[in-house]
Parts: sequence; C-alpha cells; structure tokens
Amino acid sequence: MKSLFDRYQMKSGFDEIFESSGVPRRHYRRLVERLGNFPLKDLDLKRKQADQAFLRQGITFTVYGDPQQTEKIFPFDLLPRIIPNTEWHIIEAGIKQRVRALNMFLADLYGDQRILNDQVVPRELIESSEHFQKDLVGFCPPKGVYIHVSGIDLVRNHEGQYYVLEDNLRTPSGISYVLENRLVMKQLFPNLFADMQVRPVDQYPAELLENLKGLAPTGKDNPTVVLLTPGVFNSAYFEHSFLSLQMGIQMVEGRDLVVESDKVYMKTTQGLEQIDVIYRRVDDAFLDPEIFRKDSVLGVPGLVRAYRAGNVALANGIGNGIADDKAVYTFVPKMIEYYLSEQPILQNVPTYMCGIPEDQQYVLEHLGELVVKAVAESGGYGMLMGPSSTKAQQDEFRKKILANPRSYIAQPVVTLSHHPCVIDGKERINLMGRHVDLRPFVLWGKDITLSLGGLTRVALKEGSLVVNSSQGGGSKDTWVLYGDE
Amino acid sequence: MLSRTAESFFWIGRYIERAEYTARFVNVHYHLLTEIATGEDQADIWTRYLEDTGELEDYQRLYGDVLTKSVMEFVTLSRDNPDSLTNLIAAARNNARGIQDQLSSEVWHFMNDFYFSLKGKTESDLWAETHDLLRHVRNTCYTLDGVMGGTMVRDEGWNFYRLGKNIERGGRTARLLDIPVLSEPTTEPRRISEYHQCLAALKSASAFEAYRKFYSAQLVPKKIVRFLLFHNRFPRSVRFATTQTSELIELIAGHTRRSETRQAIRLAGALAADLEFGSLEEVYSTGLSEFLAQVLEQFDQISNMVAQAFFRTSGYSETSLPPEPHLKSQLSQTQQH
Repeated sequence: MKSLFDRYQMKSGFDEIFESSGVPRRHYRRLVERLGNFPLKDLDLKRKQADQAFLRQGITFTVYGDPQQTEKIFPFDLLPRIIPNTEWHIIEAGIKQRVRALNMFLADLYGDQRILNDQVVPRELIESSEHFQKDLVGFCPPKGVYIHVSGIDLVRNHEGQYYVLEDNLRTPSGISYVLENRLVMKQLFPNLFADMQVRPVDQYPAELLENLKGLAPTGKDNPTVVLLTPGVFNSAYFEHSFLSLQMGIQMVEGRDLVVESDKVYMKTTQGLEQIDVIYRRVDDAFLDPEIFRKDSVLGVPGLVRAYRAGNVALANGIGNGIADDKAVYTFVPKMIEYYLSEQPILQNVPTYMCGIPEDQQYVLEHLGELVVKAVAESGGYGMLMGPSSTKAQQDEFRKKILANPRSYIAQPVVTLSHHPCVIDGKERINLMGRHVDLRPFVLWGKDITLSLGGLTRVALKEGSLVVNSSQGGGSKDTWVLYGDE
Repeated sequence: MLSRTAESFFWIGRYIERAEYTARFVNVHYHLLTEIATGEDQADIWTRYLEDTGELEDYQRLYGDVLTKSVMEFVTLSRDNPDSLTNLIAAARNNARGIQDQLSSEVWHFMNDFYFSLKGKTESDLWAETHDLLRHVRNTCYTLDGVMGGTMVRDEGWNFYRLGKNIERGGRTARLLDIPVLSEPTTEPRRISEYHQCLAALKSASAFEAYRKFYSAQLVPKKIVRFLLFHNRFPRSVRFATTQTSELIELIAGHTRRSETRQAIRLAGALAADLEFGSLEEVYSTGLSEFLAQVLEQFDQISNMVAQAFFRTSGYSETSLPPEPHLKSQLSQTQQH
C-alpha cells in the first residue's frame, strides 16, 4: 500500500524517524503506520488550520529590528517528535545532574568561592564577566535556590548521541509552545492520541505555581504571586500572558510596581497591594535601575533592596547569567565532578575558548570549519557558521576575536539529527528532513522536575543548523511515550 | 484591579467607540453629501470635522488642501494619523494585548480578527469598497460590544470599559451638533445641502430613525439639538452618556473615597445634572457652540480626574499608551531565546 512516507528522501546523518535502512525506528512504527494512510492534501489542510488557530489566538512573537513590528507565528510542524521512555530517563537524569551542579556553582560563586580558590574554574573568567553580580556575593536567596526555571538545549549528532549545546538559566522561554502545540495536535489528530501512549505535558503551570508559592517569605499562607513582563513588545509576551492565565496570577509590568520601605507593592484601583513572589521575565540588567541599567524603564527602582531584605522572592534569582555564559559552559563537566563527585551523564560539545591562547590559535586557523559564537549573545544572533561563511565574514570575525578574545568561543560543527517535516514544495507540500534540537524545561521546587519532552525546535530553512525562532525556526509537538514503542 | 489594567479597559472602550463614530460619520457624509454639496461646502464640512476631532493640523501638514478624497484616506487608513480607523483598532487591540490575561478568549480572538481584517487594507481597497469597508468597521464595533457584554464578568474592568465608552460617546455626539445649520433656534434648513447636513448629523449618531419616532420625519434644527442633547432614553444622547458616566464612576469608587475619587464623582455628577435639568433656552442664550464647548471641557476634566483617582497617572493619559519609541528600542534589547 502507498504510504505518505514513500515520498520522503532520506539524507545522510541521523534521521529521527528512520534507520539508515529506511525502516522506521521502533518508537515511531505506530505513527508511521497511522499517518502513512493520510492523504497529502489533508495534511496540508490540517496545517492551514493550525496556522489559523495560532494567529487568531495571538500566539505570535515580534521580530526585533523590524520597523513594522511585524508579528509572526512560530511555524508549527505537524509531524511529532517521539522520545521512547528509556531514552527519556537518561536525558532526565543527565539534566537533573547538570542543573543541580549549576545551582551549587552559583551558590558557591556568591558564597565562599571554593571552586575559584581550588582553581578548578579560573577566577579571572568569572570576575571579568558582566554577568557576575559582585554586589550579591554573600547574599543567599530563599532555600539557596537560584535556578527555579531553566531550559537546557540538547542536540544529537550524526550517531544519535545527545549533547548539551547550551544552558539557559535566566529567563528561558518556549514552554507555552510546548503546551499549545500539544493542544493543537489533539484538536487536529484526536484519534492519533487514543492509542499512542503519549505522556501528558499539562501539569507544568500547576507545578510552577506551587514552586513559586513555596518561595514566599515565611508565614504567608496565601502569598501574592505575580509574573513580571517587559510588556507587549517583548518577543515572549504571548508566553507571559499565557502562563499568567494558566496559573491564575496577575501579570504586571515594571510600571505597575512600586517599592516602599523595602516592600514591593502593585498599584491597583483600590490602593497598593503587597507582593510576595515575583516570577520575573525581565533580565537582570533591566530589573532595577538603582543597581543595574540606570535608563531601564522596564524594572522597578528598589526591587533589589526588597529582595535582599527578604521581603520579596524572585524567580529566577539574580546573577544566574554567570553560569550559562558560553565560556563558563566549558567547565560544567568539571563542576559536576567537583560538586557531586559524579561523571557527567550528558556530554558537552567540545568548545574552544578564544580567551586561551592555544585555543585561539586553533580557532583562527580553522574558522572555515567551526561555529564561532559571541559569548554574550543568544537567540542565534552574532554567530559565524564556518562552513557556509564567506571570506569577508571570516575576516570580520577574525578581527572581532583578536579585539576581544574573551567574548568568543568556537565549536566544531555538529551535524544535528534531522526529522521529517512538512515543507512547501513547488507544486505541493512534501516531506523533507530538517535539523532539530530539544529544550526540556526544568523546575526546581521540593524536587527537580522536567517538562515531559520539552520544545523541539526545527531549522525550517534547508540545510540550516540554527533553530531559533528569530532565524526562521519552527517547532514540533514532542511526545514522551509511556513505553518504548 | 491593577491601575494599568483598568486604564486599558477604559481606553479599549474609548478607541472602539471613537472608531465606530468615525466610520459612521465618514460613511454618512461621503454618501449623503458628496453627491449634492459643492466642493466648497464639502471642504467646510471636512474642515469642521477635522477641527472638532483635533486632526486638522496633522492633516494640513501631510496633505495641505482639504479634499474629500484625501480626508477619507487620512481618517480611515493613514498610518500617520493616530486617530485613523486602522490605528484606532490597532491601539484598542494593543491595549487588549496588554491585558490578555483579563479578557475572555472570545473577546481577545474577536479583537485579533478585527485587527487583521483591517491591517492589510490599502487605499485602492478603500475606493473599491468604500461603503462595505466603513460598514464593516462600524458593525464590527457593535459586535465587539456584544461579545464583551456576552462574555465578560461584570467586574471593575467591565465598568471601566463602559466608562471609557460613555465618555467618548458623549463627547462625539456633542461634536456632531457643532454645525452652523443647528446653531440658531429659528433656522429652517433651506438649501438642500443644509437639509442634508441635518440629516447627516442625526445619521452620524445613528439617531435618525429614533428621532423620527418622536418628531416625525420633519427636520427641525431645534428638535434635533433637543433630541441629541437631552433625550433620556436614546443611548447616544449627550445626557444619556453623562448619566451613565456618573453612575459608573459611583460604582467604581465603591467605598474608597480618596479626595481624587470624590472630585471625580462630583464633576461627573455636576455634568449629569446640567444635562438633566438643562433647557434649550439656556443652550441658545449661551450659544450652542459655547455650550457644547463647555460640555466637552467638563468631559475632559472628568477624564483627567478618573486618571488621577484610579490610574495613578498625573493627568491625561492618552500619551502613555502605547509606550513611546525609545521604550520599544529598549525592549528589543532584552534577552531572547
């Protein structure tokens, strides 16, 4: 019988659905069977329905630097990414281990600095970073937790081996897409879920809320928790309003808050109301113009005073940026050994630090083969993709590296695994392989918990390895199965 | 309720009402007058309209002479006019976006559809489907009010939305009356263009049919003024709007009575009483134009006091939403993943 997947042309590298022989992997077999019977034109129709649903609901992000402030939907690909249960357990254990070590690292840096004194991590690397908040050394946040919410980016190489590409410990976004993608998939393919044994994802907002409430200064039975957003022009604004709505908490902007006597209040029509916990989605730099950027209009003057006085809890903590710095990333495996006396379960992608002379020399000699990243940038900005770069671009980065070596790292190009996606062809849609990554979301409350699966991002441009939404990326629903098939 | 949330509800009410009045005015005047009025009369009508709504200066800077075609484009689709239909709907939607967590999803989705239905419109669309486009805006404003009414909890937000709507409505109806043909109690419309101006004033407040029920079809300026100013059961009369405004402010104030709150209640109560007990004689002895100017001034004061009492901004807050350009550039520097 003819199958939808007959038209799919496998490329070299690791394919998520098919083994190199063309046989579907065990955990994809049922999906390939079910979806195989689906006429292509129906798939196209479903896709249009999905796009319309996202647009109407305002599930959009704003493209920065565009004078029209265009809102785009984050393209959604219909074919789900599936992770078998056994594999998920390994990922879960590896990520918990990593986040635990990273939190210990932060507590150490803002405490006794043992890891620097023992010269496991070079002191100069930390102290030269703008993300290290020296003012907060000696301050311990509630229960010693810094990383209440994180997103750890994983990729798979040509053999299917998982690597950690990046830790996001500040204000990672994307969980709303995980939840919305699942809802849309259920609407479009209700029958598919009936017998696929997919684990649910929707407990996340309730868990997050419970964790946030647990941070309230002692003695508060029913604490007031709010979400602090930079406002409607922020690219993740949809997520902020989505999470507020899901948790049933008030969403506020900096201009809604005021600090008096080291306590934080929101301005309401009936007067001031005290706030106990802030889930903040505003970066450190903009959080409090008294301490950080003086010109910030997004933050709240005096917020850090209130935080240090213990009158308000913040999630995430302040100063986390020092631990997800792309240069500090290199040391995470050492941190795991240092703090936990364990071997890392998930590996790093090998990384050259341009601040180290021998690494720098190697990088400059191999610019055409490496991915160079600016340490301070995120979102896929400020990168050089060596193999597809021009001579002029390489020269530009050579200058940048020499001028400011500490600000750049380089990694060998990892040939990311790819996953079949529904792609527009000349005449009709087609199935094509596109590179994917995976960002599980991690919550730290009584225990460390993970969103089941996480966000699978897709580089929808052919051959592209950059999955960020700002660079033409899309996403997929991600299924963790109860079993392995 | 957060002051900012209340303020957004208030401005959604105002922007939608303003769009509705604009669409109706333009549709009525375009179809009723451009056929019969001379170029000069047309220019008079549009000039007075733009003056009343405060858009004249911007218009002249961009287009120079007042011509029907360019005015129509300016008040409907122009990017450069903050009060054009597209910009008003975008502003309402932007406010809605900022309080999405407080709106029913029906309202939010409807608002989004509305916004996207206008976003891509060009001038050639306007001229190909003038009537349809203006009717679409007007009807969608009506429907939006229905979706709000049918799905929103009757809480503070709802009251602020109604308040914004009524303040805008009272002011807009008052502005419709400020035309020469209505300004003398003894005038009878002689020229066909004058007759049509009377008709257009009523139709712009969607009041012609209601007027006819009370006064037959004969268009008497005095009666038109009485109807649109003082009628106690027609929802777009100035009096009706002031009564609503006063009641809503009382309702919102609840038990908290700070001095700003008391002041807002007092101002709104005074305006409502002026309209409730006012008479035509009084209006014409003051002069219609002056009387209307006083009413508008009072609405402004009420708006200001509402802002001080509930939004905790120092005064008139139209400029604080949406954020200024420098804020946008800062927002775009924040971290992204």
